[in-house]
Amino acid sequence: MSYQNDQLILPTYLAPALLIDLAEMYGVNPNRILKGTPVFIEGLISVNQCVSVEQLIHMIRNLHESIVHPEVQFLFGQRYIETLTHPALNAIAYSQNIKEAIQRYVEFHIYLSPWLTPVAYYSDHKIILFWLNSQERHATSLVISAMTAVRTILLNSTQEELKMNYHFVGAEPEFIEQFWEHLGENIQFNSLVNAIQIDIQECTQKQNYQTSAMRQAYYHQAKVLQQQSGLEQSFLQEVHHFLIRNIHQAPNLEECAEYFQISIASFKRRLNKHNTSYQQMLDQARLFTSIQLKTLFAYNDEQVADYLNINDIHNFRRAFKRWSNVVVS
Amino acid sequence: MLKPFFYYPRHFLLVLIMAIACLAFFMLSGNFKAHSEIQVIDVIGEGLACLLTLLWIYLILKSRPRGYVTRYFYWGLTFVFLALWMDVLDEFIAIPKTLVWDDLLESFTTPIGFIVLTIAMVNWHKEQLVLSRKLQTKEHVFRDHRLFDAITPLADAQYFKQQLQHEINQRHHSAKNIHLMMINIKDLSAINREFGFDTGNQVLSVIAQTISLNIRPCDLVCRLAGDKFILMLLDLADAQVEIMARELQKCIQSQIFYTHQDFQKFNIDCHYTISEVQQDSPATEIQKLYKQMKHQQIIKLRTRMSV
Repeated sequence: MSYQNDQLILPTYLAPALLIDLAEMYGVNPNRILKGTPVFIEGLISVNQCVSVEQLIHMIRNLHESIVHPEVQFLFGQRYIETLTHPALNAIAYSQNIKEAIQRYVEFHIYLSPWLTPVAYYSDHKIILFWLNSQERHATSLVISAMTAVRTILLNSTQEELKMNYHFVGAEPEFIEQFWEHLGENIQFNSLVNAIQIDIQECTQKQNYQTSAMRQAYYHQAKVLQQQSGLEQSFLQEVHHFLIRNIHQAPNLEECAEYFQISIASFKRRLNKHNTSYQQMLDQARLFTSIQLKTLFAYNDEQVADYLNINDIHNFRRAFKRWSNVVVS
Repeated sequence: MLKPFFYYPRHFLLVLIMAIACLAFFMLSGNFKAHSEIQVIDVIGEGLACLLTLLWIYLILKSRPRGYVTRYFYWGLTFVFLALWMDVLDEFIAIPKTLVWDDLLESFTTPIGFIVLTIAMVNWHKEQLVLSRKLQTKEHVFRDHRLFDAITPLADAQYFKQQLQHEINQRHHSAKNIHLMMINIKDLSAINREFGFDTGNQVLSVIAQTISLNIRPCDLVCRLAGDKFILMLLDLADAQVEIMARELQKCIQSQIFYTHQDFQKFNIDCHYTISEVQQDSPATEIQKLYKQMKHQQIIKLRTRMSV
């Protein structure tokens, strides 16, 4: 079952409470964070009160508008994981290898970085992690928080610094030292997409004390919780996976709506709720596929064009430019 | 809109009483003007000035600690407000020319207000000189409150880069050498985890003060990011910088911290990295320090593993 952006699924005592703590730390009135949402300070620690992903993003935006200090974007991602106690974290800590850890992060992302939806691509040597609908300039702070959360999760579970390259769409900001401090030295700006690239060769295998039983037990525990609450996949992830599976044919809007067994109008409305459209999702799926084929499997332009069923290399280059707003190298 | 004025009821009540007293005097001794006699532009201009003076009083009370300088500001602005208020009343109520006290009142309150305000300014200037001396190691050439760090009483990396750029530009004219020192607090995340983020922030704040107390007035310390501090040291030889770094490390290591709730005692350890400024770009110099620190950590890890 997939969840929607406006479903009340995130407990207020987790991310919203952390946002309030950060606001207080920076001397900002907590009510400014909750402005425009139905949440009040008094009800924040109520166990049953929940907010939607949309409302959480609204609160994060309020936080960034109220606090100019750039460190807060990193602290939010880092402290969200440090203060979280959830079986999903154990499931990652007891995963067999880095690939499994990332798979589990993507699967349980609603507990680990609910403000953005990740998708990952794997090869034998590399993993590339993207976030859906994160290309807009205003989403950068959400991406920064998500990347810091991923780094904290992996650092806590592997107990060592992995070789991770962080790619950002925008230009290098003035507060570059915050990136070095919270993410490491391998930061690239003016990239095609916001992404993390992880080198598997550099990763050692996991802790010695883990057993196969623990690995499965923790995963099962997290999975059961997720199934009970019906939060198995984001609607965006489902659409993205459908598009990736059928990327050779580039399905149209009607086919996609038919697959999800809803009317075209409802399908459009649902995507609209996630602030996206079918064309944007299709362009994004093609862009991510092109980048992962080039990065993970060293495809050249002709091979990528062939894979995407685009007849002419010039057409592919023109299309790629449109998807990513840059000229293909 | 009136909410801010209720934060300081005693102060604004006094202003209000004086304003009402003036109004009463005017109403008792004068006559209301006809509509045609009222100058709308004057009313708007003087009324706005009156309201802005009230806002100034609020801002002064809110932003300054209590004391005689604040008191001078308050009384000076109150007199200015009364003078402006009487101007506004003048627009609505005509006082007969035979009454002299009105003119006297108006002519005296304005200069009294400005004289008291000037005394306040002079004392404020003296106060600033004392405070600037205290801020010397935390602030170099310029002041920009927007670049102050939220957790420690220091400025942030942005401010540091501006100051470093300023010193680099100055260096072209003189033969000054500039050293950078990065101090990294060890295991701050463990302290955050064990004792809470408030204790972690308190540790950062105390260490910031320890560093600023143990450097020369011409040096500058800022919080770089996370658990790292950065220092700019001017006109020192490599050996002197090394001595200073070791002394700072000793100061930090000897500091004892207590937790708020259960009175637990703990110490802090730190590493330092030093480099001499060679490039013209502050960001490149800071990145060099980061790389150097990482390199040192890798070497330490390897030696520990080989042992």
